This record gives sequence, C-alpha cells and structure tokens, in this order.
Amino acid sequence: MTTSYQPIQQYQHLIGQNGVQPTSAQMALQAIDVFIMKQIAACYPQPPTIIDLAANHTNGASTILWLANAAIDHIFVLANHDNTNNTAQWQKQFHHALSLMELETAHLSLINEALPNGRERIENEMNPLTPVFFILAATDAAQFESQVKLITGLWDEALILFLPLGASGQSLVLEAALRFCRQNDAYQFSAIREWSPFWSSSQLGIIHHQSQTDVTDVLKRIQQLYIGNDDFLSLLRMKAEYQIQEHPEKLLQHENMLLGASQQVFAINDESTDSVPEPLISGRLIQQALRRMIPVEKQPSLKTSNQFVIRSIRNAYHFMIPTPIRILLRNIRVKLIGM
Amino acid sequence: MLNKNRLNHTPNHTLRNMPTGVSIVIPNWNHEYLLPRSIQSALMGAKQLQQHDIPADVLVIDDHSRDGSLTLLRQLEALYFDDGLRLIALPENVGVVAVRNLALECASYRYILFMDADNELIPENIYMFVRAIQDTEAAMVYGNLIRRGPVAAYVDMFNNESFQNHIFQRNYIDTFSLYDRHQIFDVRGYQSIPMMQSHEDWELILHLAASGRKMVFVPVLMGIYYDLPSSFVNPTRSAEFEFERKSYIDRVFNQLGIRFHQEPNTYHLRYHPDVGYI
Repeated sequence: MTTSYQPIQQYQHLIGQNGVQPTSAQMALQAIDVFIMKQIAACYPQPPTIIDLAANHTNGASTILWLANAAIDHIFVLANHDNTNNTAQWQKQFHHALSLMELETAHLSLINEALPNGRERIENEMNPLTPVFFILAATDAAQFESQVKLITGLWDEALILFLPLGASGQSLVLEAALRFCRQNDAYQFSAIREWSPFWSSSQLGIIHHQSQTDVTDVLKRIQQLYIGNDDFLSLLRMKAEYQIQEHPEKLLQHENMLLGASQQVFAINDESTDSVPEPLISGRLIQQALRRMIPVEKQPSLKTSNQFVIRSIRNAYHFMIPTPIRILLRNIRVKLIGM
Repeated sequence: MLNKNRLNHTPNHTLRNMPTGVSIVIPNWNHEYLLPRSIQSALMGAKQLQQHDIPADVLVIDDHSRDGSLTLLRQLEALYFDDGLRLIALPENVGVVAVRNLALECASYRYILFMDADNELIPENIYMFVRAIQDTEAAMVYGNLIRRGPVAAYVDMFNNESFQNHIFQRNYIDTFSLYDRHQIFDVRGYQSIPMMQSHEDWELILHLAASGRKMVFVPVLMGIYYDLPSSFVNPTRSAEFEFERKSYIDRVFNQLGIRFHQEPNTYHLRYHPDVGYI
C-alpha cells in the first residue's frame, strides 16, 4: 500500500505547492483502493488498457496511479475541459508534476472529450488484444448509471472499476450498480470490501461481464496475500495454550498473585506463612474450615498436624488433577463463591 | 538499484523536503510473532507525538522475510495505514545496513527512531527525546534501555552512560536511538565493513564522534530491549578476529593513540529537556 500510494502523495504535494489543494478534488483516492487497483492490473494475464474517466474528479491523481504502475499497456485520459476553475488548474500543473516525478508518459494519451466522442480515437490507438479497464468516479448516481450503460454498450467485456461505493443501505451508487446487474444478467457486481476483513474500508466496486473469469481469479490471488496462519485471535489462543502446556509454573505464579490479591478481602488471622503456592485449592480455606470444626483451645496443638494434612491434600490434588482441569475448577469456584 | 554498502545519491530536493517530525523505523527479518508488540508500541509513540503536534509515522521495512511476516505486515498495514503505519517490502534480502540506509532515504520526516522488531518502545517518553534532539541539535540522542532476557528473572538496564572514551573498547550505545537524518546523511550513513560486521551501529557512533557530531544521553527510559535466543544471527568470532577488529578500530579512529587524551565534542553530554545539560 505504501509504495503504491507514494506517487499519488508526491503528486498531490507537487500540485499543492502550485495552488491545487488535495481537498479541492471531488473524490479522494484511498491507499487501499489504489493498492488493489494496481494489483488487479499487475496480476491480470495481460497488461490492460486503462480508460480513465475519473481524472477530473481526482485532480489527476487517478492518472498518476496508472502512470506509476508499470503493468499497463496504455492509458487514455478522458478529461474534457468543463470550464471549471479546478479542472483548468490541475491540468495546467499536471505536466509539470509529471516531469518532476520523472514518470514515463509515452503510453499516455490525453483526450479532451467525453464518451462516446473519444471512442474512435481510443480504438484507433489502443491494442485491441488487451483487456480494457474503465475507471469511473461515481460521485453522482444517475450519471454513474448512464456511464455504465454507455460503456457496456460500447465495450461489452470491459472491466469497470468505480468508487466511492458508499455505505450499504444508504448509497445510491450501490443501488444503481445492483440495479444495473439485475437488469443485465450478463454482468456481475463485486464490492471489494466483502472479499477480506482487511479491506473493509475499501470503497472500490467492480462491474464485469460474466465471461471475464480472470477478474475473479485475480481477486482471489490478491485476497490470498492477506490470509495468514495466525489471524490475531487464533494467535492469541495458540500462545495461551502453549504457555499452559509448557510453562505451568508461570501459570501458578500468576494464580498465586491473583489469590494473594483476593485474600486481602478475606483476611485470615493465621500466623503461619505458607511458602508453598496453593493457587487452585486454597489450603487456607481448608484451615478455615477445620478451625470452624475444632474448638479454639485445641487448635494450637493441631496447627502442625493440620498443616501437614493440608499440604498432603494439596500435593495429592496437584499430582492427580491435570492443570487445565484445575484451572477450570478454580474458575468455577471463583464464579460460585468468589474466592 | 539499492546500494548495499552506502547511501545512494539523494537529490538535494529530497533532503530539503524533510519536514520536522519523527519516523519510527522498524527493520524486520523473520520476526513475525514479535512484530505486533513492537508495532503497537511504535504506533502508540506516533500517536503521543501527534498529540504534541509533531507529525509522526511508523515505517516497517521487511528485508525479504520468509516466516510469514509479510502477510501479517500487509494485514497490519491495511488496518493501520490511516494511523501512520507504512510498509516497504524488499524483493531481496539486503542486510540491516542497507535497510537502515534505505530508511534514511525513504522516511517521511527529519528525525528517525530506529528500533528492532523484537524491541518495545516506551511511547510516553518519546516526546522527551524529540525535545532533546531539537534543543541540543545533536546527531543522535539515546536513553536508558531495560534489557530483559529469556528467563523472566533476568532484567537489567543498559545504554545509560554518556559518551566516554571507553566506547572505543566496547560499544554500550544501542541503535535504539533517535537520529537527525540531515546529519547522518552528511556523514554518509551506515557503512558495511567486513571487520565491523554486526557492529555497524558502533562504527557509525565512532564515526559521528570523530566527525565532531554530538551524541547526547538523555536520562529517560526509551524502551525495552528483549535479549532473545538467536535474535541476532552472528557467527562466533575467534579471539583473533576480535583482536583484528580492535586493531581496525584503533587504526581508523585512534591511530596515534591520542584519542583518550582528547575530549570530542560529544564527550559526556547529558541533557534532560526539562533541566538542561547535566
């Protein structure tokens, strides 16, 4: 993500120095979306031809994304002058920024027209054997829908990458994409954020013809890059199990510490200090019970003997009952009687 | 092409575009299970700095790990990119010297804090070190480190001395420090020298001192250094090799034997940002 997004950050910094602020763009490109779009192109069986319809909306950042990505065949930027101040500004700074960034521009064609007018020039210049990717800025749902219909009418096997998708249940763009695919069975819609929990912040959507099986294979490949053996919770569980099995003494120390803290609440007036840890069955509880049963005057003489008894019981307990079961019994004890 | 031995030529405009801020750099080589701890502490440190209006980010450079680190790092990058986590994954193993020099070239901000993937930063204290390096205009500031060994009972503190001449005998200043990129660039960064293999940080410290640069000790805890088995792959050196290394150091930095009678600019510099020089 970092290296994919760096050229865009650098470009925004350069044009920002000349008055074109990143916040003036209608649509911001997120690092995760930049990375995934770049990876899709990189993993495709053939370098694609890019038709960038989002340049005006991103102040040229969408074009930089592809120029900095070596794995494309050609890029056509349809950035018609819409007579807004912003469009004129970024286009003026665009070439200057390109020269400073030392990006290769031989495979870049800037077309000052919108579809369908620019189609003829595109078809004359592009390699017809390459897959075609369209990049759309879906800032207006109605416009987005008409663009999708137009594109699929002209190039029925084109891959349409569009953003932002918006939130489910609230986004008109999302509804438009779903509606289009419902009405045109041959097309499928994918929301990138549904492919991996690590892509949950992605705003990228894809519409493609069902015959384009490559895109599904490519997305699976990219998804696999984010599938590891240890997804945090499984790592945590594994480490905890390892600690219990391999280092029970550490567990006993921890239990002892917890027991010491809880015993401050149930203070026992006992002169003897028991140096042997008794984390799971408390010898002191046994002592307490014995004291209640035996008259006070007889307790001093039993002190030594009952300590022996207590320790014997405890040692036998530790010997016979495995640690995981002792932990379970302790937890039950804590829940039931709070100690 | 990455030059493994020294800094690549960096255009002046890149050097000019070093905004004040801190990049916390974590070189990683096959430390998958230790990364969450170091990265978490680094992200918390970056957040602490941002609360003091100091821009900061965390840059992890993976030196072609083969243990699954890269998958974990991708996941973490996707989750924490907006919090300042950045990842550079190298296509081949180039060694820690080249990784550190790459960090000096690629980091976003003027100050770099190098920490290893198996270490842990104390996030609350990093602001002290930034203040110290700005106040003293030092090339490097360093603080106390707690060292924890593989056995829980083994804990001590090190790195807690100012620069003194016995550093020419043994290194006691860890790389886990804050550096001024301008000054490190000016002295050409880390050098890969066979005689100083695994001690390139020591060589840089001696080089900075000999070049008149300041290295300041700040009596504040910087982090926790975990001394784990096999965390540093280093072939056993013979006594003869150690003697040759010492001879090399003497030859380069103390040829006439007068170093111990000279107090370099960095001699005994101790500074606390709330107190001044101590």
